[in-house]
Amino acid sequence: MNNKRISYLIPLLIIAALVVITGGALIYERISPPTYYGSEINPPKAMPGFTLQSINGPVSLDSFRVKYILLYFGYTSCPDICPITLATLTQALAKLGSKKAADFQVIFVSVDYKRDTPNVSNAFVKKFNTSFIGLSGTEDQINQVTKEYGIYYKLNPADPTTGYYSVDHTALVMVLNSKDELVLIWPYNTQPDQETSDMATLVSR
Amino acid sequence: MKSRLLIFALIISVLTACAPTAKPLASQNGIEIDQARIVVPGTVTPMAGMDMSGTSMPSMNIGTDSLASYLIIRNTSSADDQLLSASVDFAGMVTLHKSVVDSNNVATMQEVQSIDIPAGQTVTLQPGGFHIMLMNLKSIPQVGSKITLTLVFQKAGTIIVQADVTSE
Repeated sequence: MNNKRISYLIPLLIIAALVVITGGALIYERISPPTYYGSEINPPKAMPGFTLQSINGPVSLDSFRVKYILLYFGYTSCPDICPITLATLTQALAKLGSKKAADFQVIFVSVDYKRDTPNVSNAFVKKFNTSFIGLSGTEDQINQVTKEYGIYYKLNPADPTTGYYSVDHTALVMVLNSKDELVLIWPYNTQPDQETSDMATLVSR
Repeated sequence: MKSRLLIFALIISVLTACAPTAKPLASQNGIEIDQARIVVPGTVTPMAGMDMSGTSMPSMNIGTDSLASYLIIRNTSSADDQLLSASVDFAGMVTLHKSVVDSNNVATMQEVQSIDIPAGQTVTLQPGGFHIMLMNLKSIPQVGSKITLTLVFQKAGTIIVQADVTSE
């Protein structure tokens, strides 16, 4: 074999190797189950509908006709955990791009039925993203929805001098599909890149 | 030989550029304060064509009745110290808090009487941990502005810093 032949052969071998690797990776991606950073609920769990209060009156889960709902329970006087979670969702959706992001509706439910009216809840989330929706409810409505969705919450006693009280609450984002089934859970501290990746996987299925 | 000297000089200049030579925000009696900020969560992103000129800040901030402040506290002395209290002029009440998210993902927040700053250590007040909680707000500061934050330490005394107002 002379040098000239080798110089022809090497690029050909490299191209052939690349074709095999890319093809293999594509096939593997098709046949392997999708992997998520969040906790996948498999099989998806059917969730009961709810009735809560929006700025435009009562709403149910069926009122939102999108592919996926990103549901989060919190309260607006929350100084850091709730704002971090909403800011993370805002960043994750921005990275996903507006076209794909249109398949996701963020719904924030305030469990603080004493302080948070629908107006307060909605104004709070609009500060992060104008497409987010903030809901609230009566004590009975909040008790029912949190029980059905496995959310713990507790309004703590008010500070005698300020009247301020904090609220203990489960801080995770639930991803529901259009059949009102729970498909994915993002625990607290899931990073924007991880959420973006999970959402891209969800819409590509 | 000359080129060796040049490389040496280059390495030194790179090393000093990387070293944290920046002065802390404030320093007093062995306590150094850095990266003080007050977070006004989120930012209102006006929709295209929306006229924001007539909008007053308070009405844009319905739902904000508390804000958190974060900072880095370094104790360069050999004695333990404690952050006892903090204040800003626009908040009627300021308390020290600790947020905790447990293994069941339940977020709780507790008021603490003081925050320990052990000798020779750095304590970072950050989201998901300790924070200074500002309540009974008379106004909401503008993102991008600076706010005078007064901190009271048990040993180091009162330290005043200019905290940045940020959106996250």
